[in-house]
Amino acid sequence: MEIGGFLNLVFVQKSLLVSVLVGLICSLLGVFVILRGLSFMSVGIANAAFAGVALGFILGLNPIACGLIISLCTALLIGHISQRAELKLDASIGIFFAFTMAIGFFLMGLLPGQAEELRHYLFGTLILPSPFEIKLLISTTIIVIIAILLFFKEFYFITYNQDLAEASGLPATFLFYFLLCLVAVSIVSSLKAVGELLVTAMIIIPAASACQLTYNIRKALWLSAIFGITSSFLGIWLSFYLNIKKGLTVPTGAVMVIIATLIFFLAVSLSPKRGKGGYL
Amino acid sequence: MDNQKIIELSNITVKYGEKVAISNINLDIEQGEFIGVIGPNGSGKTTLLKLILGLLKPASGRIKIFGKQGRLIGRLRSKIGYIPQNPEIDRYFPIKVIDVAMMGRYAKYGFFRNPGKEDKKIVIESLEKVGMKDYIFTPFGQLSSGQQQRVSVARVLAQQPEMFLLDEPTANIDMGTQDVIINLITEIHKTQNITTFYVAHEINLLTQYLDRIICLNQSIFKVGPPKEVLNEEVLRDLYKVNVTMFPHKGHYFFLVG
Repeated sequence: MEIGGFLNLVFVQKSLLVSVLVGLICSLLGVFVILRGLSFMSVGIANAAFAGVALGFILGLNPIACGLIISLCTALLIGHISQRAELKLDASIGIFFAFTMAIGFFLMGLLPGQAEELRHYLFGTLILPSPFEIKLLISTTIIVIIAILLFFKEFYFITYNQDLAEASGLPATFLFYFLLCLVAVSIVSSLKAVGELLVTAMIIIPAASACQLTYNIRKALWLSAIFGITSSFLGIWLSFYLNIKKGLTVPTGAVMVIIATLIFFLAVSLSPKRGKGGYL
Repeated sequence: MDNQKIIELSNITVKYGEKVAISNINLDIEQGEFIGVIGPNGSGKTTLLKLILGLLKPASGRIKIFGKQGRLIGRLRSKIGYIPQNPEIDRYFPIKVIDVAMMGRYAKYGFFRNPGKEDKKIVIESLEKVGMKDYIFTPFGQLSSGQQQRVSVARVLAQQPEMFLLDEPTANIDMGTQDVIINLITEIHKTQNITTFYVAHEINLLTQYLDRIICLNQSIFKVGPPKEVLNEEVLRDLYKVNVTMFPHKGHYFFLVG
C-alpha cells in the first residue's frame, strides 16, 4: 500500500492521531511506572477500567466515563493498600487484578447483545473513537505532559525512593496517588485503541526498552516516547493494511504490542547495560 | 542562642500494630549536640529516627521538634539531612551520581521549580568533599556500596540541613570509607554546629566524638557522655554478651569476649 494515499483518508488520519497520543502518554508515564515498580498495579487498573466500561453499558451510562470513575477508584484503593503494606503487595494486587477482571467478564456475560462492542475495549479496534473519547484523549495528553513538566523532579524522586522523598519533605504519598491517577486516566483514554488486555503493555514495554539504553532519565523519557509512538503508529498502520486490504480481523492492540516487543528485543541486544560499550 | 532545645520527647511510645517498638522515651536534645545511638537489632533505633523525622506517629506522648509541637511535616523535614539504612537500588535504575546528590536540593523548593546553577555548584562541592567529584556522571548503581554511601553523604551535605539523622551510615563499608565518612561528619558537626544523631553498631569508631550516647533497648537504658555511660557491665546488659574494655590513646575500646 502506498503510504501517501493511505495517509489521505480522513478516518485514517484520525486513527493515527489517536495512536500517536496513546503511544505518547502511555510511554511517558511508563517510565515512572516501571521504575516505581507499578507494572502489575497498572494491569489491575486496566482490568478495573474494562469492568467500568461494561458497567456503563449495563447502566446505560457513558461507558468511558464509567470506566474512568471505576479505574480511578481502583487506583486509589490499590495505592492505599500498597501504602499500608499489611498484605504483601504482589499478593494484594494479584487478588485485585483477578477480581476486577472477573467482574468485567461477568458483566460482559450479562450483555450478550453488546459482546461485540465490548470486545473492542478488550482487544482494541480501528473503529473511530467517539468525539467524547477523542476529547478525553487530547485532554489526557495535555494533562500528562503538563504534569510531567511540572512535577518531573518530584516524580523522579518518588520513583527512586519514595520513603526518602517523604523524609526529605516532599508530599511523596500525595504524588504517588497523583501518579496512579494519571496512569488510570491514561489507561481509560487509550482503552478503545489498544484494548484493556494490552494497554499496560504499551505502558511497560516502550519504557522498559528505553531504560535498557540509558542511565539518563530525561533521555529515557524521550526514547520511551519515540518507541511508544513508533509502536502505536506502525501498529495502527499495519492493522489497517491487514484488516482493510487483506480482509483479516487482527486487533490493533496485538499488532502494537508485537511491534513494541520487537523494539524491546532490539534494545536489549543493543543495551550497553548488558555488555560492553557506552550508554546514551 | 546557645543550649536551645531542638528535640523534646516526653513519654513517647511508638507501636507497630500491637507490637511496642519504643516505649516511655524522655529525651531533650540541645542545638549542636552530637548524639550516638546504640542498641541491639530491633531495639528501636531506626524507629527513634523516623519518629524525629515525623514519618511515624507516636501512640502516646508529646513531641516537639525545632520548637514546634507535634509531628514534623512537609518543608520542615527538609531541615533534616537523613541517611536511611541500606538503601537498596536497582543496579540499572537510570540515575547518575549527580542526580542522587541533587535530590538533596529538591525539597528546598516548592513544586514547579527545577534546581539551577547555584544548586549544581553546591552539589558538585558536596561530591568533592566526599571524594566523588570524578564520578559525577557515573550511574549510581555501578558504584560500590562504600561509594554509594559517600554519595548519600554528599546528598545530605547538599541539603545544607540543620540536623543530621544518620542510620548506620558506616555499616557494610570498608575501613577507609568509614574513616572518610566519620571524619567528614565530625568536621561538619564541629564547624557548623549541626545537631547530629548517629545510629551505629561500631561504637569504637565514634565514642571519642560524641557528646552523649543513648543506649536503647525499647526504652532508654542509659544516656550520657560515653565516658560516664559506657562500661563492660552496661554493654553486657545491653547486648547480652561479654565485653572487655581496652584503653587506647586516651579512649576506651570495647571488644566482644
